[in-house]
Amino acid sequence: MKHVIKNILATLATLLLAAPAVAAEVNVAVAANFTAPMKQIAAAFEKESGHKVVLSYGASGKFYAQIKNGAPFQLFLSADDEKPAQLEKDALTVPGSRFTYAIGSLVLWSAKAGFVDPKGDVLGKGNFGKIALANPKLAPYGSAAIEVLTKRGIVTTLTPKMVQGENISQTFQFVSSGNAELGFVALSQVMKDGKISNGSAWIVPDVLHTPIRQDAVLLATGKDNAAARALLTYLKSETAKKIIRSYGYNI
Amino acid sequence: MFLEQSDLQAIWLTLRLASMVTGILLLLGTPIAWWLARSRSWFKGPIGAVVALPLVLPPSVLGFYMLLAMGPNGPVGWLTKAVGLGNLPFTFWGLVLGSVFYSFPFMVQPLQNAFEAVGDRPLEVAATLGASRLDAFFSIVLPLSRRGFFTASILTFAHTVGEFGVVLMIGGNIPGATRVASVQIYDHVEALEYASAHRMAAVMLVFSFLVLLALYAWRSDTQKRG
Amino acid sequence: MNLVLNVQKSFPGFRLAADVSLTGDKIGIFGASGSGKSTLVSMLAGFQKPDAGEIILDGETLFSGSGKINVPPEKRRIAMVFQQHSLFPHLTVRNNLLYGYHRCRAEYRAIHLDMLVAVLQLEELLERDIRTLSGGQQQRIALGRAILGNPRLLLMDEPLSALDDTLRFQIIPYLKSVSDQFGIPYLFISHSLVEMRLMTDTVLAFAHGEMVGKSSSEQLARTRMGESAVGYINLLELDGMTERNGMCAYTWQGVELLLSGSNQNTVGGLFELSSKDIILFKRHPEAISARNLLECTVASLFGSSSKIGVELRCGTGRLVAEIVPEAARELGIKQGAIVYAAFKASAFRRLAITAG
Repeated sequence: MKHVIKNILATLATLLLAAPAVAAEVNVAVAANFTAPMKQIAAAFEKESGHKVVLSYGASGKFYAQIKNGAPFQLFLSADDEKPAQLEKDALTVPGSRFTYAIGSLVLWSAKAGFVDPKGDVLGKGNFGKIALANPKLAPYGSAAIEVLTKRGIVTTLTPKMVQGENISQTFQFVSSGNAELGFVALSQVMKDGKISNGSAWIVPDVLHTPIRQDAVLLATGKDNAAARALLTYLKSETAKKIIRSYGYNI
Repeated sequence: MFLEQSDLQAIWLTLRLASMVTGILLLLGTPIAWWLARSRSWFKGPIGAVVALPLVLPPSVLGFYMLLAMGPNGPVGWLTKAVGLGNLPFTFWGLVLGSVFYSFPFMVQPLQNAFEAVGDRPLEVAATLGASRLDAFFSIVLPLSRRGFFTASILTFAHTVGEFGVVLMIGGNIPGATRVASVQIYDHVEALEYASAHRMAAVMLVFSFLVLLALYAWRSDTQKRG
Repeated sequence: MNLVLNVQKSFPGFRLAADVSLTGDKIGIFGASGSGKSTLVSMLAGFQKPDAGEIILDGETLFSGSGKINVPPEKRRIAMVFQQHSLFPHLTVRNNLLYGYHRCRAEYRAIHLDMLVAVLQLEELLERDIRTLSGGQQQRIALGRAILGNPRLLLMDEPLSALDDTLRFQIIPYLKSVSDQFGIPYLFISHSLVEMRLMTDTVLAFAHGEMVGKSSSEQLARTRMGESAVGYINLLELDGMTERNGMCAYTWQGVELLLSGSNQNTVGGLFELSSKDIILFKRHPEAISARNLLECTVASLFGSSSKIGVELRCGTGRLVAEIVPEAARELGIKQGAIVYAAFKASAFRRLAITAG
C-alpha cells in the first residue's frame, strides 16, 4: 500500500513537473547475472541524460513475485524471456515495450587450467566427480545446459554427478570454489575484458541450445516515467550494446 | 495426491536431516554447554562467542564460507579427503555438517542455561555422597535439566527444518540427498509454481505449529507440576 | 576422630588461616557470617582447594600442598548436611536416602535404611515427593542421606539456620542421636551459641578468617556473654510437670521451678532462661512477686570489667546470672557465698517439646 501511494505520488510529481528536460528517477529490477554491465550502463546513461537510476539486483523469480505484489519498479531486466512475457499476460507492463536486451552465452568452465578442452569432449570422458549447472527449472542457463547434454546423449549418464545451483551465480560459486570440477556457467561470469581470465573453458556454440534470451520490459508503473522510457531506449543504443558484448553477451 | 512425489521426498529428507543434526548436537553440544556453564576459564568468553556466531552471520554468508571451507581447497575439505571421506558439499553428510554448525547455538545455549540453573549445590551434595562427576552428571544434572534438553532439541530440530541459506549454498539441490523442504518450496516459488509452493508451505507451517504447540503444552504442564 | 587442619586460603580482600589438631566426635566451628567457617568446610569437603597446608583425617592425608595430594570430594568419605535445599527434587525420599548408600563401597556399608528410618522417624515420608515436605522434614532426610553412606566425618554447615526455632530444637535431638547411635563423628558449623552448646563438646571460634579460640562450648558461651544482647542462655531440660495454682511445677536438679501456664500442655521440654532475667539477693527477701526463689552457692565468677557472670549452684544444677560490677560489690559476691536467685515464672522460653 505504501509503495502504491509512493508510486502515485511519484507519478503525479512526474506529471506535474513534466518537462522532458527535468531529471527523473527510475527504479530498475536487474537480474543478478547482469549486475556488472548494468552498473556501467547506468553510469553512462546518468551522465548522458541527467536522469537518476536506482538499481536493485536479485533473482528474476523473486522480482516477478514482488512486481506482482506492487513493488516500486518501473523497469525490469529479467534473466530470461519467460517472466517478462508472464508479466505482460498479467497486464502489468506497457504493451509493446518488451525486447531482448542481451543473449547469454553458455560456457562449460573449470577453475582448473587445461581441464576443459576447447571442444567440450571432457563431458564424454566423465573423469570428474561433480558437474554443476543452474537449476533447469528456474534458470535458462540450466535448461540450455540440459539441451546441450541431451544433444550429446549423456544426460542420463551425468545425472548422478549433477549438482544444481539455484541460480547461475551460485553455480559459478560451486565451480570456482572447486567443489564441482566443472560446470555450465554464463560466459559473462568468466569473461573479463573480452577474454576468459582463468581456468579452462569450452564456449558452447549457440546452435546447440535455445537462445538464452534476457528480456527487459517497461512496467505499467513506469508508463509515464521519462527516465524509464529513456533508459529503455538507451539499452538499445550502440553504446549500451558495446558494453553488454564486452561482458560476454551477444546482442 | 496433495503433495507431489518430489515434495514428499524433500520432506522426508528434511526430517531425516533434522533428526540427525539434533542427535549429533545432543552428543556434541552437551559437553560444550556443560563446560560453558561450569568453567571459570578466561576463554569461556571467546568460545561462547564462537558458538553464538551463527546467530549473527547471515546464513548465505555462512553457507558461502562453508562451501569454501569444505571444498577441495578448504581446510575441512583437506581433512575429509585425508581421512577418506571425500568432498562433503553436495552430499547429505555435508548438509549434516553445515547444519550442525549452523544450529549449534540453538542446542548449546538452552542447555547452558539449564545447566547454570542447576547450580553448584546439587553437584556438591552428590560429591559428598560419593558420586563421581560423571555419575553426578547422569544421575543429577541430566534429570534436573531435562526441560532444557527438550527445549534445545526442539529448537535445534525446528531450526534445521527451517534452514535455507546454508543448505542452498552447500547442497547443490540433489533430490533425495540435499533437496530439503525449504529449498523445494523456494524452487516452486522461483518456478512460479505457486500452488505447489502454497501446499508445501502449508504442510511445513502446520508441522512447525504442532511441534511448537507440543513444546509449550509440555512446558506449561511441567511448570504446573514443578 | 582425629583431624589435622592446617590450611591457608586467600581471596581478594580475605585471608583464611587455620592450624589446629582436633580430637573428638562432636566438634563445633563457631563464627559470624564472613568469619571464614564456610570456606573452611568447603575445603574440608574438597570443593575448594587450599592454597597451602594439609588436611589429615584419621591418619589419611586428604590434602597436602607440598605433597601435591588433593583427594576429590567423592573419595573423602566426608558427608555433608547443607543449610537447605539440598535434596534432589527428581528423586523420592527413599531414593534420596539411598543415593549415597548405593555409591558407598559394600565394605563400608554399616547402616541399614530401616534402622535409620526408625531413628529419624521417616516411615511416613518414604514415598513422598520432596517438594511437598517441610523444611524440617527435608533436613531430617538430608541428615539420613548423609549418614547412610557411613562417612568417616559428617559436616553440618548451618543445618538449622533456615528453620524456625520450634523446628530447630526439634531436630537437634535427631542430629545428636545419629552420631551417637551410628558412631559418626561430626563437625558442626553454626553462628548460634545455643546450638553449639547443645550439639558440640569442643568449639573452634573463627573471626575474620582466623581461629580465635578453642574451648568447650560451655566456656565459649561464658566468654561471649558480654557480647550477646540476650546474655548467657541457661538451658534447662525440664520434665515431670505437675500443675499448681495455674502454673507448671517442675523438679529440676533437686529444686522446684515454677513456669507460667502457657506450657501446660506439655510434659516437658527444653527451656531457656536468660542470665539477664535472674536477680540476686544477699539475704532471703521477705516477700517477692517472682515465683522462683532459690538459695544458691556462688560456684565461680567470670566476665569482663563491665559485666560479671555469676555461676550459681542450685541443688545439683547450675545457672548463670549476669550482673554489673557495682552490684557484685554491694552483694559482696565471692566464690562460696550464699545468694538468693529470683526469676519470674514467665522468664522461661520453651525451645523444644520433649516427646512423651
